[in-house]
Amino acid sequence: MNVSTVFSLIFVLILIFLVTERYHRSVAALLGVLLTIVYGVIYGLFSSQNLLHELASLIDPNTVLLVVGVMILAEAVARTGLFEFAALSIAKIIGGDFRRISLSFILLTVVFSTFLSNITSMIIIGALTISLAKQFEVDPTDIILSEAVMTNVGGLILLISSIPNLIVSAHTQIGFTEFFKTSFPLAVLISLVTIPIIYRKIFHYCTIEHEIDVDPWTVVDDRGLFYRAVFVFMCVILGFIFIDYLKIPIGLISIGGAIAMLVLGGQEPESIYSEVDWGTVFFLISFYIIVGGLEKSEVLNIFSENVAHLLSFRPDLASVLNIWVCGLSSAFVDNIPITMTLIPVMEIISGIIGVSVKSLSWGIIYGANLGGNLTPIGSPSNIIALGILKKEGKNVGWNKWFEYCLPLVLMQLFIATAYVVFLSVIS
Amino acid sequence: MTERASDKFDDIKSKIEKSINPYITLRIDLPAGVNKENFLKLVYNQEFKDAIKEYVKKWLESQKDIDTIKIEQ
Repeated sequence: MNVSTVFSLIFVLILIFLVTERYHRSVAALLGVLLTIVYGVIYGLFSSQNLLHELASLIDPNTVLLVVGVMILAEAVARTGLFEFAALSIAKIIGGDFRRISLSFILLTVVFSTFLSNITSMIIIGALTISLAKQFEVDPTDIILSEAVMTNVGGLILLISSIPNLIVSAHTQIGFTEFFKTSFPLAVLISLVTIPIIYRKIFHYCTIEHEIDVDPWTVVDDRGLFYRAVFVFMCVILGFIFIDYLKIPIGLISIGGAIAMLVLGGQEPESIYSEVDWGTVFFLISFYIIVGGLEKSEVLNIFSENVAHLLSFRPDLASVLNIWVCGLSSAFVDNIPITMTLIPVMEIISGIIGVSVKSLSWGIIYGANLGGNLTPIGSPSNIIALGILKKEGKNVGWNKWFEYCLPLVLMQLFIATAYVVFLSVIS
Repeated sequence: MTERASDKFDDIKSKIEKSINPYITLRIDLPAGVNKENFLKLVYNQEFKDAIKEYVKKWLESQKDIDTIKIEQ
């Protein structure tokens, strides 16, 4: 068996494990790393004397530091009650109209998932929605599903909002400001189209009004810590905004913010570390090595040349194709391996078909972020949303998901497609 | 949903519910001479909960009176 076939089989095997969830995704990826190393040494792709150095060179430390830093910072800040405080303050300002509160929470989901992981955003906003729905005695199902759909829209706004954004940006040198300038208008556009449709779906809440007397400060245990967290958080965001002038790696700003939060926060570091999603970190590092193996074994070259041959007839369709390939794959497989595999493929293809890798990469970013909402298992926030509803005695199956969410997500993907075409026209 | 996510959700929800609809959790030990089964069923007895609520009101009112008397003295 030749080296390309062996490494293709390893990749397919890991994808099967990911789709079937036979093992935890980080365990499946670590198995992929083990097979990559063993067969890499056997076929001479890695030298056994210099193995650790070669493996380390496949991993992008900037992205890994950024992911870990953002995770620690977000967890430490979330513990201060900042996000619950913000949501309750808005509920207090809006008053007792449940329809308006629901809409504001759906919009807040976009804001929260810009800074937090989709899981944490969904947990916080889900808890708020359930608590208020109980108070107003209404069924929260449609609102929770709408919030799940909107978490991935928040993932489009900043470079740090989702891991596919970080991976693509690291490869294509898209800066923080450039990312925001390009993707924020799309997130606004999608929200402007999606929110009125959701509004019509939850219109029946319009008559439900209830006196609510909320003191947002009750969710904040330590005001000193709260203000320090806001300060560190703002400094990190400013650091990201001015990254082009600061000329330091974005991963260092993120990890610096995390360290500052651990020092100034005075929170128990062990309990913060225990809440960090280390599974995702292992998964990310593992896939750098697996994709490195695919590159070294020429699998990606062979695949790219075939795809480039197909695209040579219509190179302008490459970005559009990326949205739909990434989107549909993300409905069933984690978007991290899809992005990590497609980005080097796009680098090769861009050279062959003469389209810049940056313009091709927007399709990957938008498809990978939005496609996860096509199915209930496509994104962690969907699983959390359904788990929250199940805890409240509401069993939402695939049918309800397809009936309520699928049209919204397909519409979002079509908007993203039109936007990518627009980007390629103006560039 | 994983157990960790579920616990995190419960924690945040209870914090928010306390903010929207403040409540306290009390532990009441089995009083001597009371039937255990009847005692444990009280958790689900709305009439009992309402009676406790009324008692809380009366208690706090009486404490206010005591405080006022103390200030006057």
